[in-house]
Amino acid sequence: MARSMTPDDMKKFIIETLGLEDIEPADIDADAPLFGGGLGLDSIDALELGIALKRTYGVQTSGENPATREHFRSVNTLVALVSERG
Amino acid sequence: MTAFLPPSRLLSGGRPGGHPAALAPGPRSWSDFAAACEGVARAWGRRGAEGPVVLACQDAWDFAAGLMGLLAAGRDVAIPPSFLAGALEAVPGASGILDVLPPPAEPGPARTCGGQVTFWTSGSTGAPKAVVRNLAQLDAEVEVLEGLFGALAGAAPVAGTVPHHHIYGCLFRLLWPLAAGRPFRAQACGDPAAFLEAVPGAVLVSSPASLSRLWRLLDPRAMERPPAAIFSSGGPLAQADALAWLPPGVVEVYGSTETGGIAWRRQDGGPGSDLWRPFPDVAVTFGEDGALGVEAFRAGPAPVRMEDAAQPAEEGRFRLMGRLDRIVKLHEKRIALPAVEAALESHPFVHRAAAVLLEGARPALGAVLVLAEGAPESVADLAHALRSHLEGRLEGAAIPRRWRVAAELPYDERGKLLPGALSALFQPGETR
Repeated sequence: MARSMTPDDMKKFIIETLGLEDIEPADIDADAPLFGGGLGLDSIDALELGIALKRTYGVQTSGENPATREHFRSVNTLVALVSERG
Repeated sequence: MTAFLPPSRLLSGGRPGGHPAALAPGPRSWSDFAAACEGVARAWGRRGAEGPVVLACQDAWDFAAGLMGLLAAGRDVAIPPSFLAGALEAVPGASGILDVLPPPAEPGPARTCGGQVTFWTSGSTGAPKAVVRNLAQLDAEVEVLEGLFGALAGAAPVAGTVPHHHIYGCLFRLLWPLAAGRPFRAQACGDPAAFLEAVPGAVLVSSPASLSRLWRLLDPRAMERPPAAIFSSGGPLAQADALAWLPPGVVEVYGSTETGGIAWRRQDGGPGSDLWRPFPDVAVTFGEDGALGVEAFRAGPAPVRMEDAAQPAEEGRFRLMGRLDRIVKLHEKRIALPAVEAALESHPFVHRAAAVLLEGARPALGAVLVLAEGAPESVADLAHALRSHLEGRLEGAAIPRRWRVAAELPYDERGKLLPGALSALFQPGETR
């Protein structure tokens, strides 16, 4: 990757992937729980996002890795996940 | 394996207290469950009010204990379609809301459960509709499931991605495991991390919306311990999505809130594995308009007309042809949307297709496509190729005029295709 991913990049990626037309990057708290929280995102959204990350960034979530749950917690943890693999 | 106790006899004292009841999230024993139920039964047993109690526990352990405790107290239970405030107030004649469990109590003599349970249908065709299930019907339901699939499920714990307050999740995640003595996982395992933690070696209760996505994210064949059994309900699972879960494969259950389970199939790519086998206590009929009819004790005294079209097939099986209300009229011609979708999916560019009638000044058929690898990037090229593919296969009016490409088709949490969400993709401003 030319440059490392920022939390803002991840927010834009999430908004685009899940079609959150009425939500701006500033509306998303990078540290807050993404799913089951105030954004109204459910587990199907989590799967959508996971598939998109896999397609776009080659992030692998297979294998019985206990860290996966932590990675899907917030924008910041997702950034860490992508940066690790990138 | 412990004795099988259907809901009416669940609290009859016929199971050792040390038997595992749930992971909620830590291990909970049968005596924990019986004490939680007893607490509910005592708190709600002598209130004098006759109306149903609205059961609104968001936690599945609390919900299960609340449900069985209320039934043990002989109370009727109403399970709202959602836990939003408006839905709770919408239950007519309710005598109270149980959302937080009272303290547990030491069980006294065995309790026989009574009362009935009201569920709400998904309301995909309009407003949610109340459906009353009595305890004998729920008993029969879990007995049929154990008879058909008990050996498959074995003694494995039960994990689910579907909500526990709809009839499918309530039966498959809670009442059936409780009856059979399989510990149930209280927390849903719909997100990837919870899935990886909960599902190895477990019975998975899921839906097409989850199963069609999960295997693209987590390779099931790379799991050291695959699920012991997988169940899916809420809509048909595409064959490619079913095959991705072999082993152990997916047992799809066709049913409704009104009837309970009707039929099942396990697609393995073999001939006839896409056909549905009626449950042993179900008789199916085929109406003149193609509507599937269901007769079973569990479905009530009168035959139930399903809103699905079906065709009889060999060995008492049948083929589902899509929802009757998915037959639309355009240019005075009847068009079966499932036939349009099947024709689209027969083209190598198309992985999944959904057709929708777009109302308005100039009604037209729209197609939402999930593309296969190798499909052209230009929607115009794609539409051109598909239009020529459909000519000769479909009548002119049945060939879509408007096209949208999507990453996935819009299903709700129960795996039902959402016509409103499909139409919304064609609104001005949606450029995908």
